[in-house]
Amino acid sequence: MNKTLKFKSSKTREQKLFLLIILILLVTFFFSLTVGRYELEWANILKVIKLKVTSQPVPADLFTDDVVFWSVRLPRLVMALMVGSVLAVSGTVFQGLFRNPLVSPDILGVSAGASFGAGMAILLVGESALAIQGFAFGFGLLAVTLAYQLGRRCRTDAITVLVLAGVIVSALFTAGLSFLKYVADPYEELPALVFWTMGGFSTIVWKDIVMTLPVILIGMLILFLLRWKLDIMALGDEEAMSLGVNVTKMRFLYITFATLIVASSVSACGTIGWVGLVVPHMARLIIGPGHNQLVSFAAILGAVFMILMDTIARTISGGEIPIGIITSFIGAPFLAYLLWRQGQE
Amino acid sequence: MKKYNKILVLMLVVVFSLVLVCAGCSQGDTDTTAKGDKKITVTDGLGREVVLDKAAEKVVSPYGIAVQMMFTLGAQDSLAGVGSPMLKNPFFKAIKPDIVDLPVVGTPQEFNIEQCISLKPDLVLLPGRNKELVDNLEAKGINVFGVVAEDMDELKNSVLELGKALGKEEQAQEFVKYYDDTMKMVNDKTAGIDDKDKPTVYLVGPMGVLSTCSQDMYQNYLIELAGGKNAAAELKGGWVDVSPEQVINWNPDIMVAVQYTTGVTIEDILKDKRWQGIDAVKNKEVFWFPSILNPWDYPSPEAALGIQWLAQKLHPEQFKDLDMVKEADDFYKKFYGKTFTELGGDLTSQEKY
Repeated sequence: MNKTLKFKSSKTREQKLFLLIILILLVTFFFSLTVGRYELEWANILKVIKLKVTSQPVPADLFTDDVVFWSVRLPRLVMALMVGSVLAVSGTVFQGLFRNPLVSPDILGVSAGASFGAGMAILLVGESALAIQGFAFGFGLLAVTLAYQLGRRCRTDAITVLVLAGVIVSALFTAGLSFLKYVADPYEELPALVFWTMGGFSTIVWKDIVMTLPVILIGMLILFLLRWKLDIMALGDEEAMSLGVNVTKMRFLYITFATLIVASSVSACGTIGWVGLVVPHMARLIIGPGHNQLVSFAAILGAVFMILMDTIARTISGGEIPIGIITSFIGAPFLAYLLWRQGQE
Repeated sequence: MKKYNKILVLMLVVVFSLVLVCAGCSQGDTDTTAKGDKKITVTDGLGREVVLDKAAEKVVSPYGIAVQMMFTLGAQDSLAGVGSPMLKNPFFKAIKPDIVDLPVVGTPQEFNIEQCISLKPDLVLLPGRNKELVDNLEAKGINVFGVVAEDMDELKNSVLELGKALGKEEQAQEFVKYYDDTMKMVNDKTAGIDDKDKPTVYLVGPMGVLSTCSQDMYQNYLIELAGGKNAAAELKGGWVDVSPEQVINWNPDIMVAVQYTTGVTIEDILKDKRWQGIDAVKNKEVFWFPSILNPWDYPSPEAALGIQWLAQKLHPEQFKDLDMVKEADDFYKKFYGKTFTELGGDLTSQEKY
């Protein structure tokens, strides 16, 4: 009797938490819509939405509001939402796969590869945004493929070798990027390169969302469907295999789709650190380690986190602070707090 | 055992002393003062005194603005070594085609000291902010002139002092006179303009529309001098990044894009949905800051032209007698030997490397 009650109450507790975080997401999203360097009042937002929905022309006095809402703020927030979810989910998946809480989505080199790819595009092709995104995506995938192929040689200690392979590949592409910076034209190419590697949402337009959405949706969906198997994989290779899980195949699937979604978002927004490392931990603290709920919860929490970070980055001063600085300032102390807490137990 | 140790220690001491002696020798170097007559003493941008026996005939410099100043002084044939970006500069190549054959000494950040020394230069021009390198070369007995040209006064001083060092005083004086006369002319016309009649100017910086010049940059001074207001004057810190909303909020009357911007063209700006509400875009007041040959917007000999161009754009009535093409033609002919148009100059396009 007691056991069933306990089970039931924990289920409703989870449901309540999910409801709460979704509510927080909605509030954060709508709040961020009203906040920004340009004064956008709720009344005007509702008006421009109504005008767009009813396909009416926009009067001159609402023209700028219309532009700011539809072409500047909304795509930016939607992208922040997507990227936040992507980084949180892939962070959760990798942490589960590698059974290590210090793992981030960059562990297999996707960010290093993508940054290198963007650099190659800037130096070889020039200013085409399409080329830069394409190269970033391609090289991000290439880096992880290399790490994976290198890592799967060893069957006995697969996780460790995979991590080492990731370190090697990251180092390789980071060195490659440094070389590109060295040969780049110091007035034109180098600043573009450095700017790209810093990451942020200030340049986001709807085109970027259209280009990244399909891959991200499919990847997230598949990871969502496969999420519960991570619990089994977490038991260790031998136990998982004895329970009927094809460990190698599952590992391949997880890595592939997690990398696809990360490469996609990095190609549009550059590298944004700490989110993929810290948000899974936050989620785990709130909702527990079972991947059934963890993956979905992390996705929503990641979106909230990212939207908040981006709102801070774009409103705190007249200039635009690189979002990596904000995420580091929040992420690093939080991780310290986690370690400290763990030490106490 | 003990004896073996003693010999080892003795050997170490001998080797150590030899090393110290060698180091000492190579330091206190060439103190050969040429006996007698006229020596040229100039003061560089760092306040250091540079003493030359005679006008420098072999000059090495990896620093773009210093090389440009040599061209303005008509001393480009004294160049004995340049930096790698200079070889790709179409402006330099147009005036001195054999620049591509000159030895390369790297860049100011990655300077090849050995290559520089092997060329036995009379004078080396380095960026003043690279003090370590300046001291390093000086210690090796090479005459180094630290170039500091972050604003027009510093630029004028550099040109004057370099003119002395290169034996081109006349040319230097002419340049300074042209510059001072131009500044006076522009200032006379813009000093009395009321604040409310000063258009807001947004300068599209090197990283595209979302980068601009803050209050501590030369470009800010340039805008104010031309009778305008820098949209980003409230910000500090060199080139700053801003969000799209911030640009929309400032609503500039005119936008000028620097030659060295990336990823965007005037057409891109005029077509971009985000900027459609901005006055500058609505009135099509979006221009390239000249020129296609070399940028007129930062401290350089051509800055005098840049100021005139911008002043005319901001206050067309006050400057309606100003013929920019003629001014540019005259300037380039006087200082570089060919007119602006002859060199391929054009006031409305962006330079392509």
